[in-house]
Amino acid sequence: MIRLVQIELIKLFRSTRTYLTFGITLVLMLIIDLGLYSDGDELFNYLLQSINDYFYLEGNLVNGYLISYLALNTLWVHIPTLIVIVTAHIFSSEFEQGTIRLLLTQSASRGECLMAKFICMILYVICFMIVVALSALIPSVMIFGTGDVPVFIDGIQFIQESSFLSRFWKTLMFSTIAMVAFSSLAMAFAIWFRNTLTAVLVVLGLLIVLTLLQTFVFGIFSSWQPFLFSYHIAKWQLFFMSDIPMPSIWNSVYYLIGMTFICYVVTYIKFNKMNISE
Amino acid sequence: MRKVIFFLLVLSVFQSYSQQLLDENIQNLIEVYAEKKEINCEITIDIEIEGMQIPQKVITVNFEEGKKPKVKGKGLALVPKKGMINQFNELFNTPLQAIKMDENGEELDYKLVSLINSSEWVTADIRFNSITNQIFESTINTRKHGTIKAKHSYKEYEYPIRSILTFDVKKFKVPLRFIGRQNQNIDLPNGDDQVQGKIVLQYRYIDE
Repeated sequence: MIRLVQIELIKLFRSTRTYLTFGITLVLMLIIDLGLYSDGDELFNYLLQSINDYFYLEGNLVNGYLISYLALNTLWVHIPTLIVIVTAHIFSSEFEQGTIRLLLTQSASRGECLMAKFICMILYVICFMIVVALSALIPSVMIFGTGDVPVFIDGIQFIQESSFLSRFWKTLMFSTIAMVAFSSLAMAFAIWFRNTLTAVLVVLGLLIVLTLLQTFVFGIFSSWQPFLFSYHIAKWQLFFMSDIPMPSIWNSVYYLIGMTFICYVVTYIKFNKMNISE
Repeated sequence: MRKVIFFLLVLSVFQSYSQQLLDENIQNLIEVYAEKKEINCEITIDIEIEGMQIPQKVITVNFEEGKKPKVKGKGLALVPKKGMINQFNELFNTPLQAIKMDENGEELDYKLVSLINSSEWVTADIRFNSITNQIFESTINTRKHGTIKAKHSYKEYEYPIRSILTFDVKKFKVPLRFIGRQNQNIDLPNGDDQVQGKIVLQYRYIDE
């Protein structure tokens, strides 16, 4: 199994698109840093204007931690998009390049092949999230320093500098679980459609539609929310509330792990039943 | 031109006359508070305003007459623009008219009216001790920041060790495009929603 995983990792890291996703992430973070360097003060003075009427706001408002927090907002669309482009390819590339027959004639069982690809996908997601974390945190802290973070959830909450890093790492761990679940969905579609582009489009289409449904919270969709995976993926924000609602976060963790498991089982069944001559 | 000069003359005479009219109790307060030009203290700030969750902060502040307070502290701190101890200095450095409203032994109630348009406060109701010159309660109507009510507790010093400020504040609104997706109840802006703000300040005077 370890050998199979190694082979999958070699294939993954010899692909240009893997490095492209890392490169795009770095550029994204750089753009966020530059944007806030030039307009950060103005933007936050605008956001906090109702506070400015009554208070002097003293301290380093636009700081590295705030920028890292804002960079996490790429978790809505940008990061999932980049991740599924690679993870869907891990599974469908064998069909596109015609190597699936060769793969399935190896001594390893289909279950082992799928598991190796699945582990490779998880390792890629972990690597990607580490790149996101470091590229969000290190340059911004070096340029802007550290400080308390104003977060706009249910009004405004001031997250203290001392608790920021633990919240940030917990967010990344949670998001890694969320991105693995999302990639598992891409994996299922990639095996189903046997085409990377179709799988990516379907998964991203689902993400967009479900996020839209989730946004209409004051309509009939509010009762559907707990069934939408986009709702659970978005729970990373709760780590930046003054009192972190852990039961709600754990519910989402269970949902996302369950979703990953179901996607894996569905993919396994489909892959096992697949006719080698197809 | 003559009319203008005459008007200004009358105004200045009236102003100085009104100052002379201030009774001994108010003169004592002016002596205590208007003459203190600089205060250094450590302040513990607790803010309770609906829609805002702000952790307790400890800051060191240098108040200097006519200047914005100089604040030192870790992280971000929200320092009230009005109602802090420099408010006393601001009150009694303004030409004012004082009207005695009530007297209960050593405790006196006065209404102060600012005599100049450029002052940030318009009227102030104060309750103070005529012997110690400690102001226990004040309700200050300002031009820009609404009405600020303050209750002060003292130890020995003429400045408070603890103040509780209450005031009406516009409910904090984030522009819609910045609202996070975990905001379950999207609160659309609805005119001037006012909520009551409460700030508890605890002072430790460095040059006491």
